[in-house]
Amino acid sequence: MLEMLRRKGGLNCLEVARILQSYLDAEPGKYSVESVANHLQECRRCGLEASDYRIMKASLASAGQSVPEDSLQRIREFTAKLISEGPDDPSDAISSES
Amino acid sequence: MAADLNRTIAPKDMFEELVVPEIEVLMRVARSLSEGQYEADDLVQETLLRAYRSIGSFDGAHVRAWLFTIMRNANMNRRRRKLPSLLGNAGLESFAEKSKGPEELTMDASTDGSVLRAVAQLSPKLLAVITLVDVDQLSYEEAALILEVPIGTVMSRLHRSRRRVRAMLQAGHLEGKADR
Repeated sequence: MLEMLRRKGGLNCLEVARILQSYLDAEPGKYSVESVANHLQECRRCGLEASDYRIMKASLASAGQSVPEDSLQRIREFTAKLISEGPDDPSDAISSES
Repeated sequence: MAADLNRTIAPKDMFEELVVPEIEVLMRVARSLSEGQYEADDLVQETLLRAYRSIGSFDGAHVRAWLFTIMRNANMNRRRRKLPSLLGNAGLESFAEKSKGPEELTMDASTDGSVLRAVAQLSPKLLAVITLVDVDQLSYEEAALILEVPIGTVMSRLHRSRRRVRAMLQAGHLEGKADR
């Protein structure tokens, strides 16, 4: 319960909960990065919650990092052809299913 | 700078300079919008083709937002996959297979796979947001553009999705043990 109280003029848990996702995603918002960081350091519950979200974000980011090399090659070839020869008939663009 | 580009550079060169560097981002987002890799590749090709055709009238500003708009429209028109049913479970499973996690993660012993399995259980709307932001690394603004919703909606859905994933991880029923 004590953690719910405002800490020495800083943010309280409810205030941090409202902005935590933006803070973790480094999105702009009406909050002070330092204030949030201080609260997460002082408040065990909020700190653990933020830590869990960071782990989740890292897991998902690692899952999406790479694109298949053969697909990338195919798209690069398509792009090079588009630039050098210009667009053909629109239906020609859909070629990878065949 | 954007206006200068439009005035002084030929459309072909503008395409090379502005669009080509975004190809990998487009491919990641297309994969989230598609059932499989071939469909994703088709969507990227169609997006590039449309971008090439219209780059002459593009002012050069906010190129990624412009490309996402083109991709979203191309995807909607093709009706290959209706938003917001992004990234089906099959896609997430393929991520889970290849994902590797740092050993120091503390949530449990196989966090990456657990996170992916938890995310796969989210509703389509929540799945779409967390995929675009956390997997594809889009900003809230970019995700809002793709999903055609306000940024505030992206934020609230993201919060809900992460909270639910965390709750599932804490409940510990993500180890493939349906009986827990």
